Amino acid sequence: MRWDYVERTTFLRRLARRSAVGRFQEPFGFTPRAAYFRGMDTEPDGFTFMFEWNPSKSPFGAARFTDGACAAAPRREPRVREGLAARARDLSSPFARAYISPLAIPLNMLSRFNATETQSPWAEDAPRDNLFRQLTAAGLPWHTSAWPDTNGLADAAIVERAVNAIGPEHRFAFVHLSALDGAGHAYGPGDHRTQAVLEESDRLAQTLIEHCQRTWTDPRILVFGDHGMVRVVRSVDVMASLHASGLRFARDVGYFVDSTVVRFWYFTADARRRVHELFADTDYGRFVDAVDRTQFGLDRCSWRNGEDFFLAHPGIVFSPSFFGASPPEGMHGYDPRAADNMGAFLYWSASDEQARDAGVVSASRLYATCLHGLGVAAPAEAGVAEAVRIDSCPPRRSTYTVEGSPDAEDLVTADLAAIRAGVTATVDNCEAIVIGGGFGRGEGYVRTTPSPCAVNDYDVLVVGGTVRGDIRALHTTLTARCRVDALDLSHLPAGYSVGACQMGFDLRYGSAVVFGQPDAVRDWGAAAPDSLTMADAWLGIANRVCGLLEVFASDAPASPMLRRQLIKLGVAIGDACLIDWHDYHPLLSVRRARFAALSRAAAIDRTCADTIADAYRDKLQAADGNDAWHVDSLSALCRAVRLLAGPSAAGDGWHQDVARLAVDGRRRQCLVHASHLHLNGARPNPLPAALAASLTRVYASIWPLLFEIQSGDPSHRWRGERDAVIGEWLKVVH
Amino acid sequence: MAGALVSIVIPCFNQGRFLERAVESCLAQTHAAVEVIVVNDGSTDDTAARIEAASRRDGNGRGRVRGLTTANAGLGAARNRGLALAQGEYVNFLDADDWLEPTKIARQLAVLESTPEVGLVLCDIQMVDETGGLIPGAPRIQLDRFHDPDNLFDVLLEAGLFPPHVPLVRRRLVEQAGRFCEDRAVSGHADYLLWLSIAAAGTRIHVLDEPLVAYRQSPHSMSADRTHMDTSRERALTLLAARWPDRVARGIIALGRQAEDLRYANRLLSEGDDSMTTTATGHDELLARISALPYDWHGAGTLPPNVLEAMVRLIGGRIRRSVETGAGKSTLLLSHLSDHHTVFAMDGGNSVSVTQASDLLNKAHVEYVDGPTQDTLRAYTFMEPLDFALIDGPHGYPFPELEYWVLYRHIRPGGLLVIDDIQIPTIHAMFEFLREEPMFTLVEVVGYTAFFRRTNTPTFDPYCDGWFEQPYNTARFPIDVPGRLGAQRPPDDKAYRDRLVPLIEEWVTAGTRVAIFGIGGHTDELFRIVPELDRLALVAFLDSNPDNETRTYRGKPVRLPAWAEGRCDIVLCSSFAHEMTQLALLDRVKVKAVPSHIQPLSRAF
Repeated sequence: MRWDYVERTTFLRRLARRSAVGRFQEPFGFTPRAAYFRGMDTEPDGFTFMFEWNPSKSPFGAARFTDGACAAAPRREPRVREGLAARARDLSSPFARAYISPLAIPLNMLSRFNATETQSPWAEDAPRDNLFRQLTAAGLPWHTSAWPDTNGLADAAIVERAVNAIGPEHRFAFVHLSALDGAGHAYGPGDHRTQAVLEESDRLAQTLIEHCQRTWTDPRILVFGDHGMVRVVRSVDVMASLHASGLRFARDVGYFVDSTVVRFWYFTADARRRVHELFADTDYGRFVDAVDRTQFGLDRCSWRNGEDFFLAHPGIVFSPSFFGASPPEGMHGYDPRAADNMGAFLYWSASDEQARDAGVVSASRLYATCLHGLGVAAPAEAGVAEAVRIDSCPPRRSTYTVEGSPDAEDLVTADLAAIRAGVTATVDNCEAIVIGGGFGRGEGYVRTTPSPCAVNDYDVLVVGGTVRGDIRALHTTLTARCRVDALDLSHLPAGYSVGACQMGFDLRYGSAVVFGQPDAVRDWGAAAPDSLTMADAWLGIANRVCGLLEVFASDAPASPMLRRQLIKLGVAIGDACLIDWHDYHPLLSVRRARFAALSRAAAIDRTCADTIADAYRDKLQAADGNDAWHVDSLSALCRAVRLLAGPSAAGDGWHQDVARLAVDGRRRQCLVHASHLHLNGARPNPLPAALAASLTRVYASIWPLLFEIQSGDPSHRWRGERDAVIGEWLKVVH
Repeated sequence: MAGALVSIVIPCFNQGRFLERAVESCLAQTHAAVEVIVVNDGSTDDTAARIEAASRRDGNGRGRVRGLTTANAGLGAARNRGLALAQGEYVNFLDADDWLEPTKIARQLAVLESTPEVGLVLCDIQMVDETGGLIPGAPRIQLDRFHDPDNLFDVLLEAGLFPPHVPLVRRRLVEQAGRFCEDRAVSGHADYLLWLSIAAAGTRIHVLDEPLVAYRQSPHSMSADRTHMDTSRERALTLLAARWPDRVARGIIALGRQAEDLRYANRLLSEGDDSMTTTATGHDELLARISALPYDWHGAGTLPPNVLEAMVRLIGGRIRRSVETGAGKSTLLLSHLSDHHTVFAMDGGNSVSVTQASDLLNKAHVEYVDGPTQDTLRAYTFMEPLDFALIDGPHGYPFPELEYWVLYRHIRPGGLLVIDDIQIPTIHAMFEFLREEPMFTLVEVVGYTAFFRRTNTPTFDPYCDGWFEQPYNTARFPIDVPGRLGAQRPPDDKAYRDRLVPLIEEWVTAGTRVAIFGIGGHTDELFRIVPELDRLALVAFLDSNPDNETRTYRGKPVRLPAWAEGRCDIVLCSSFAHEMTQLALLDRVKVKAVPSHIQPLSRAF
């Protein structure tokens, strides 16, 4: 469960508001159960990956006698693999038997590898101290329903078993749901199918947690995703590179190609040099350096775990890999510190229901956290990490503002109280008052000089109820009261809903309900990022372009207004990329980090990507006075727009048409075509004909103009068309 | 001469003709700090002269080549004599008919000098024929096997049969291992024994994966004598086992495992496509193995093979969720067919413990809920629809019914409900009921086991009454009930009349004595719509309220229902609301009671 999934749930989101919430950082490599239940010390186990170089102990030893025959007659290979899998199960420990598989490891390499995790920490004869042994020693009964014992079971079945098994006598239960991980890999983190699984997981978590709340007195609930899920935007065939390099497997070098890491074992003096040369100057990964080796605990691992590690950048997978031939849509196992590689962390206690900030919680802290929650003293051995204690987590302050300072939060809270009072006095029985925009997202900005006031607008949506007073007068009063330039006050009828557009998504997951029904907007917009269409993204860009045209029409190019519009255009282009990658997020701060990571993975031109990342930064900080923004910035942004019109991972038909036209150099037709498709083909609900025609004229005019502005003298003929273009646009937007 | 001194020991017995090339290859090393010790092991050819010549060529006897002549004592003894003279920190053994490539010592020495934990450095070989010509494609050493640092002893045991001039070794380790065994019976494997002894004492071995030595194949060489090689290996292993019994034991296990791997691989490659499709959990094999278990495998009675076969056939592949009451062969089978199988059972007749102990049980997929199903089933929370439910727990009445009550609502459309032992009368009644129940279709009866499949018919509310909605009841107690309360009028008056008037005619003709149940609005409505009722021989109106017993209604006396016994042939109910009274009448009055708007009246009589 990725850290930000919680906001896309119903039950867990509510629980989070009464919990200590943080981000869970997985260990480097994969996550053995010892990570949670013994404090994840790599030294005794000596591994951080599921398979290790261990030819003598490999349960696939028979593979070395079969690879030649299968190479000669490839049709044999599926049968042979099936047989090797069966034998590996026979030879493995009961724990490893549940997951051991030849994967897609080439037959000629298979006999070198063995599974590392051979025993569960909860096994009676587990060799080392762990949570379960502590519990047993303290006479506290416990229950587990977890991988791999539950392999093959649906999550509902796992919860069913757990609910029926967990009774008042139990003091600890560990239940592991895995469908969400599978969906994230198969469909990507922002896909609607992943969302459906997420909602099902939420429902199951609710069943389980409520059962525990009913069954136990003063329970403590810890929900964590053992890792996050990064959207995959590029795959790289490192196996082909290794094959082509002339390096001989098992003679010069051994390697294991995971989806995000290639581990190397060097057998000849120059193998390391040759491997490093092979990957020098690549843009998709890096070798783990000495500092990170220590940080990741690799120094304490066995040689069998790997001598050298080539780690993919977040968003890139190595495919084909030893795990399969097809690239997944989502992946984890990147640098554990990468934002989207982190899982959710939520710690709730019946006796302390404050919203708290748990920060980044490493896997090694769970052991002590569980012991502390159970009131069992941690063993006095070195290396037990500090427990996460709910009462020691600071209260979450930043509800409305970026900096979260008490002064800023208090100012906004007071403004919102005034808005709430004004609205409820004017609208009878309103269902909810929803704050959108920066403050709704928790990314508002408050200026302290010359006098404290909100920099961002207040976007106020009043849902339902009957307007009794003068809402225009209320608008004027509130604008003056809050001392803001603009306060958007909209009254929407009861039952109103926003469609599957970006604005709806922002409201659904990035707004604050300050009065009434807390779930008033939970059905608005799209439930999953992949439902946002590129048509919306293009519309967003077009909107910003028109803003630019207005600036050029009325002002000197270096004005703050120009900077502001450039920043907005940059953000719109970044948003379009994120929508294209199916991993849009309502928070600007998240979009900025995610764009920065994925744009590198997608190999977007660095100047373009940096300009867009800067736009997010400056938008977030309301820093539109930044001199870095000038008319030349348009150059990078226009290049980014061209990139966006290029081939898409999403493979939309219209997108490809546009790309083809762009390649042909028919820029104008390309853009008109894009606009046409946007208006008539790509929208789930076609626009009214008149509006579509008007938009078409706008598109037909603005795109060429934009490119001409960017490429030359801004005083050319577009000025003559300005009024017509802006007029058309204003007709559309108003 | 710069660098560490390397001693190269060359034993020679009657191979003088090859000696020059061997010695020259030593002297031609790019690492020049070598001493060459040639041990003439009592040769009768020109070996002594050739040693002398070589020594003369290299510094006129004061160079790097030294000769030593001994009485013939065998290969191991000759090497040890040479070793006794060696002064180098490192030592390389070389048979007189082989030679070294010029960089051999330098390449291996570099590893030993830079990595103190390495005691032995191997390289690959190039096979040459008797004349010294290269043999293309000849086998080489399985050096890739040596990248397994914790298991070098095991690897050496199998793959350590390389020529003695392959390793460059620290002389200290050779001394510590006790030098070469001088027993002539071991001579073909004296070097093998030495390397294994060094490995057993614990040292790292490094591999240079390049051919740095030439190894001459000759039909006259000792290694061509298979008999000697076998006996010498046996002798070497005997000595090794005496000194390192635990290591040898582990090594033998590892070798056995490799032999198993090889056999298994051969089987995989030789078996045809069809035979490979049957794995250990393949249905056919599984079914055969389960069916082969004896009938009295446990004490609670077991399903016969044809029922198990029907289960596999009707399930038709894998299922997600299944349940059974009772345990036995079906448990074994379902543990392989179902992702999540729950068994509700007590260990009566040890059926639970026997299935749990069976190696045919796929344990990960089975959950046991221990206790009487009368309690455990009701307490269980089902979260997934069931693909399969087998009722085969306690058989006494009404326990199967209780199980049915819990399970039927969880079976998904298309899912199977299996009832075992339908020969038992009370269970047979449930079977008869289900045959007519629209939620299920009878698929097959195998022996005493019935297989039903759930239809799409909405689930009968387990908390309602609603017996009158169940076809089994309505067929036997034919009451047409338009709604739950039964008090509504039929859809139109005509339908109402069409049903009742023919019966009235019949009753009039036959002189049937009729009582009408009800004296309220329903009865008034009945007479308004069907005035022909006045033609009947009405004997009374019935009402359950004793206070009404003294009244008259429509000119007839009002009686309690019990009055009807023996005094009338038909009780016609004006409303289904009198259902309970009707039941009482059925039992006591022995007449058929019908509401006024009944449809299949003719069947009732």
